[in-house]
Amino acid sequence: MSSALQTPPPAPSAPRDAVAVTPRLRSTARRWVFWVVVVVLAVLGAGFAVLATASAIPDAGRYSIESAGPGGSKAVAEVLLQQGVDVVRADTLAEAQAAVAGHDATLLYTDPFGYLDAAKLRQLHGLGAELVLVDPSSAELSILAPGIAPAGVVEDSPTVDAGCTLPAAERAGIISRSGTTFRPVGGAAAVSCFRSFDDAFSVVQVQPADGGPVTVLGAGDVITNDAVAQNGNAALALGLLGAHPTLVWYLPTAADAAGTTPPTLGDLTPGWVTPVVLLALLVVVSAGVWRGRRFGAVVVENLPVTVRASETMEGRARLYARQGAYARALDALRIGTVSRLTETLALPRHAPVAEVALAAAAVAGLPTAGVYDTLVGAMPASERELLDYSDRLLTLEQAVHRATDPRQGPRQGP
Amino acid sequence: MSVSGRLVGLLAFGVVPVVVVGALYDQAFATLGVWVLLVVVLVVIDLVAAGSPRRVTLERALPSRVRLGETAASVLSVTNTGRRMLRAVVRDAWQPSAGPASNRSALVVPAGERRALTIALTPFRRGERRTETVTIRSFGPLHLAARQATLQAPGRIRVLPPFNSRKHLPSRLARLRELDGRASVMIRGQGTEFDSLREYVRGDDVRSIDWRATARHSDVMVRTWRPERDRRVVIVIDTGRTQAARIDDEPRLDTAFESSLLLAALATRAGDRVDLVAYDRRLRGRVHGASGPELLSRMVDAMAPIEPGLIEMDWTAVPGLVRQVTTQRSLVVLLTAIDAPGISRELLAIVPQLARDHLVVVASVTDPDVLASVQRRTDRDEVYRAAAAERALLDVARVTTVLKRYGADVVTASPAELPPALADRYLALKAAGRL
Repeated sequence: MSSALQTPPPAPSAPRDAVAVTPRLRSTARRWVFWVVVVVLAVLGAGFAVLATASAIPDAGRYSIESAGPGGSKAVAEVLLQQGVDVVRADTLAEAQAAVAGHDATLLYTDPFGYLDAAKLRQLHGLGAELVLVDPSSAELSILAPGIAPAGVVEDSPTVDAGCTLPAAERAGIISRSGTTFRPVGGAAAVSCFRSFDDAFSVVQVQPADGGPVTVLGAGDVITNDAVAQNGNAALALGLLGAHPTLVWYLPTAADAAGTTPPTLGDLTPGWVTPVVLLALLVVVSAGVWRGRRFGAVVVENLPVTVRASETMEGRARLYARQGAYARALDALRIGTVSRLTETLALPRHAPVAEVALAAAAVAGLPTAGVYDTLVGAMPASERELLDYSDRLLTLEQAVHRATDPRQGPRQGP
Repeated sequence: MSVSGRLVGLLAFGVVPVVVVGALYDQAFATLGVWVLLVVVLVVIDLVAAGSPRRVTLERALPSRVRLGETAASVLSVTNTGRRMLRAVVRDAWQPSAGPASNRSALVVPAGERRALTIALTPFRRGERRTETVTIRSFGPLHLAARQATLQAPGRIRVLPPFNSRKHLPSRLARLRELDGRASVMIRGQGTEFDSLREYVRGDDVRSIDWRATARHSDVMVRTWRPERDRRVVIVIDTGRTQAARIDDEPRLDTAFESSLLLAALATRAGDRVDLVAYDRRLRGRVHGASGPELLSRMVDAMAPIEPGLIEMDWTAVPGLVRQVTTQRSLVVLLTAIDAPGISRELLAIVPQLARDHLVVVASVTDPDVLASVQRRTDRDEVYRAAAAERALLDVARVTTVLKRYGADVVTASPAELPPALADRYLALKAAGRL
């Protein structure tokens, strides 16, 4: 029950404002300012560190013409540019198609992550440019260069000789030997260079019936910054890639793969769904604040001990029951009955049980022997008998009580 | 700071513009941003416009005492000393057992004015009930967000024992008057003393006619008698661990308080002097040298904060305590628990010493649960329970026998019946002139 009553305003000498326990925003802020500063500094420091190192980290992609690292191919691209070759970087098939269209072009293609599926590979094949495949997989070979098959990995031994009539290979003479090897199959007209063993070659060139020539370069190191300066690597790289005025450097990216999938759930849902989900999130958070904000501190109170007084009796009863102590239990019941009978029959407190039995039998009109047995004589042999005797004790007590109670019994009229 | 459900609703309502604008113009994200910004601006406006919960003066008007089970009105005056209107929800942080009817109340206080907030307290536990703080949540005019502060405003109320057994007092006082010469029934004999002479009226006992006075006056005069007065009653309440046990959902200690209050009310009306000592290992409460209405008020005051301690009662100090109160022969009532002989050994040790100088009555609560268990014997578990109950009763009977042999009187009854039983025993002792 609460009510607001209007009372006159206080006298000028009113007491001062109540002391607030809740800290003010200012003092809370002062308490936390150290940690806020520490966290802000840490975040800023981490940001600066990332920015500072990010500019030094090259585009780490292997064969990337932007990368100056050991695995990149910036050196080859730069030299080709100086030599007047138009080096165009392509990240997607569409870009590659646009770059090749209408130009006399070489297309360097390597796809270690297998972004392009068969259909796209066929599109690539249909471009008509001269293809240079670096470390192609067998799936790619089967579409782009059906006359060439993989021939295993060569062990890293220093060099390998050209031994063929391909002009670029002849000029190179010796190249570093590493990577996979290939061999021509199916009797196709192929030029194979840099033989490692049996019929395993580092460079194989075929001239398919449709489209331009396809050169497979197994020794990918030839075009990397790390190894391009060794032996005749540079000569081979420039010879293979600089044959035409335009070089399209096509390294497929995830964008190629994405375009191929069917529309996702995200594409099909309307544009307002994400904002509504965000709004729902905000509503849940604000509802949490609404319900969860504590209305002052929790009030503590010492609670009294609560012990049920009959605990010890219950414990003792359970002990009797678990042990099956029927003899002891019956003893207790008999002592109780005998003492109550002694009182009811107005016998002396320490009267012998036999006397109590005699008096009870006389009052209740029962055979003395049976009453004596019930009160003390018989020993129970089982819990069954304990229950029997307990009932008999109760009956006896009630009989004696009825017989001695002046309000009941024979004296009471109908 | 705190927000209201209205803010949550307002925020949720934003789903309408977001969906409509998103579906028609494809500007869902922008709409969401604008809506959230709008809500934030409204919240800031509301917070700025809310009255300060700190610019407030609090005053309490509170009765210092209330009897357990009765209701007291706690009035909290809130004065707004700030410049803005205070639209507040106020929580007075009473302890739960102080039984506040509601601990959140809406309150609107214009600037510079004062409002009273009345809360009904119905405590459900004896003792000192406190409140330390008042929390004020002050909402702005839009009721979207609130400023909140917890202010110090200590208050306390002492909850006295209920003295439910006072309903037995009138009948016992009537019995006391029967002992007294004021009633027509004259009881003369041991334990009564000469009171006064008055004229004979029909029905008076002819044996009490004072012939000498009759000779002096022209009328027949009779002597009137009254029970002996100015005896001492010393009530010793055990506050040790056995008194914490609950019987019929009332701790033994509370039954002891009820019994001692009824006894004290009766004894002080009968002209005896009553002293109270509550003790376990240290003195927990003491009332000495009070009489009449003051006695009862001082007794309930002393009893209010006492809770049973979780320590053993030190009975050896009790004779010393009684001696401190009085050295003359008096009625010493020990309110304790009679349990198994092992537990009651210390009590048994001091009773002979006390009984030599005083009349000792030991009052204890019996558990009606135990008595009922004795009669219930339908299945195996109940028979074993009955056996355990018989055993417990036997233990009590043994201690009682020993106490009686040592010269103490024993009163045992269920919690509801112990106070009148003890009062009856007192009347019986008084009638018999044994005080």
